[in-house]
Amino acid sequence: MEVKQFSSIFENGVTTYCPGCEHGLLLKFIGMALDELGITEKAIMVGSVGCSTLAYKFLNVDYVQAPHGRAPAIMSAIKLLEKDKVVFGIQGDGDALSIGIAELIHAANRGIPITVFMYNNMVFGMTGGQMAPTTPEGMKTTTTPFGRDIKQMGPPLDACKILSSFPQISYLKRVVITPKPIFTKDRVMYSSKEAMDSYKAVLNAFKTQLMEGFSFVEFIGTCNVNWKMSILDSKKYVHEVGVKVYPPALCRDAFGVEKK
Amino acid sequence: MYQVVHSKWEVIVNRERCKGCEICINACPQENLSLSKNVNSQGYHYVEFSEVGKKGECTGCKICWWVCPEYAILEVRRIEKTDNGS
Amino acid sequence: MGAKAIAEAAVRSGLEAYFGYPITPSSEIMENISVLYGEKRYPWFKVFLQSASEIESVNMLFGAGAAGYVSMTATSGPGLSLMAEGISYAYASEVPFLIIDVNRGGPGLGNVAPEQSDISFVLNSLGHGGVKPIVLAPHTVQESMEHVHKGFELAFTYRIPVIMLTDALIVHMYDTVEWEPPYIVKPKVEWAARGRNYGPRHIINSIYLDPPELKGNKEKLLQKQKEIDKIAESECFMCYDDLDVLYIAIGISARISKEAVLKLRKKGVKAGLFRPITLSPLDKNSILKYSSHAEKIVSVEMNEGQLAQEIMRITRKDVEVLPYLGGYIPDVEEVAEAWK
Repeated sequence: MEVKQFSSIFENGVTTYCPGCEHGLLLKFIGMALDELGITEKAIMVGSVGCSTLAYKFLNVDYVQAPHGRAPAIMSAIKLLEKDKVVFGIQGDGDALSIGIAELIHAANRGIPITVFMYNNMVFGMTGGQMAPTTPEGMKTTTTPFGRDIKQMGPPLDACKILSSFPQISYLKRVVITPKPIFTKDRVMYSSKEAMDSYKAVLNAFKTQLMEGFSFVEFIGTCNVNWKMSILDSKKYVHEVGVKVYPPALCRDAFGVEKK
Repeated sequence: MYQVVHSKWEVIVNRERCKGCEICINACPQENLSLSKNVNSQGYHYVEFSEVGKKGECTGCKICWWVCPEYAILEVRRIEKTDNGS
Repeated sequence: MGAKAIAEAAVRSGLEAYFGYPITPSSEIMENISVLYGEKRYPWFKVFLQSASEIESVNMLFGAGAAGYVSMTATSGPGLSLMAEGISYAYASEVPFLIIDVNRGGPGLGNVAPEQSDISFVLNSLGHGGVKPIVLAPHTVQESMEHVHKGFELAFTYRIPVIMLTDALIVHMYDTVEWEPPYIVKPKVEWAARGRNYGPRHIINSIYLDPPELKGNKEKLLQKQKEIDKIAESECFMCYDDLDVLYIAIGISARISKEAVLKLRKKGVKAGLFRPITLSPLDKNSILKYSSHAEKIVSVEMNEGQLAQEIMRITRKDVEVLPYLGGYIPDVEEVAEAWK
């Protein structure tokens, strides 16, 4: 019996992520959603700088590598010229909210129908775990060895709060992509609800783009290697601390894709 | 006409993609998945599926498929054997 | 006005997308192009967008180029500094577009008077990692129009960013021009990222984590550079015989120096002017040929001597610099006097 293959995922593509990182989960869902909507052949992926750079080794779609933080500008240009194509980008929190916040905000304000997926792991992952604008209070990183000081660095940036002030955004959602650990008497289990919700968010974001709207989805995930935690501890941290700083929410759904 | 005489679930694992993060092993309610003693070409111990776990047969709940971040669990599918041998 | 001529030339040459950010003295190009956007005569002109910064404009050019569209922007020194990042990425991933650099006084904010002080920046490395884009240097409004067309053509032939180095004086100058584009630039772009569309996949990429891969890419770019060296073009005005003085200039200084050369020739002084048309690649053979017959070489520049440096590096001869700094324009009399 043949194993079902997704046309947008390489048969032998191996992600470049550390074991337990949910970035790969996001790529898998993007591939699945492209297949389900039948838009693989007209999809153009724009990669940013960070762990998402090497996504092109996993997803079999056209790929443009953007400079650090500039993916939304490149996506906008491609979409304006190739109106019937599906243009999406994968960014990290450092890429989208630190160096590239101007490009993100202006693309969002123009409401150009593109899709931005932001994987928020609360640190700079690829450079080795430095503080990001999204690092929660007290979190120890390589550049904040005594924990992030809110008085000096300000509170963590909330992408959904910033973007919800722009009227031309059509779909704005924050989901947790990390499977929730469930502690039973004798063992630990993981729930699949978070993953299913994330897949739905990816699907709805693409649907919004097909209906000519700007969509942005933030995924709260882990970076267990740079947090210096075990896989289980990092997942626990997301569900104990992460969701308090970044509560999952549907901030905008202009076309009502969520209900359909 | 033929009759289904035997039907069970099976989990297909891509050994090369697996990085041995053990999320699926923990996630499986029936404990059908376990870490192999062997390693793949990347040097990771990969996940193996056994039809009967500590708590019984695979029920096809697909939780492992949903939580696998590497897309190493390719498919959870039903295998049916019929009396005509197919 | 030069800006209007450049705008007309760009759109008539097949410009499909313009992304710009206002900066004096280049804003007039953007303004003139915005008027042409949406005209029925130019159905190929699809997108005009004012971006939020030069960083955004260069990346929009990157996007348009990656999708295989003819695109350009106009900027000035401070804007070009911001664009250096994008140009470096575009050079590495072989994305074509045209940038018109309307040179103003620098460094820093400087002033908005004409200068030619971006030469070293543009020629030596426009961005990190060793970047050598094609650089064109027109000296009249007429030539600016031709160079826009040529810029599009070269950008897509060699898949490389092209810089047209001009100055505030040419862009704001009124001049009579006569020009019809020979054809509309419509490149073949089977490499462009426009979706797989049931064919092979397109990757516009500049990351090569393995040293052998990056080495391969750099060697490919160097090989391309050798091909590009063949298009080097220059003009030598009044270089008939052994020269008493050889002037070297680009842009508006070249135009003024031509007057000076004519003046000296009337007096019986054997003067000539060497003018690089493509600043990068520089026409090394011609400069060596003409400089070997010259008693004296004078570089007329609106900077501290950046072009002279390039010429000295090639000829290994002394080049006297006649610098005009801070927005002053070369004076014909002064240039002519410099032959002594």
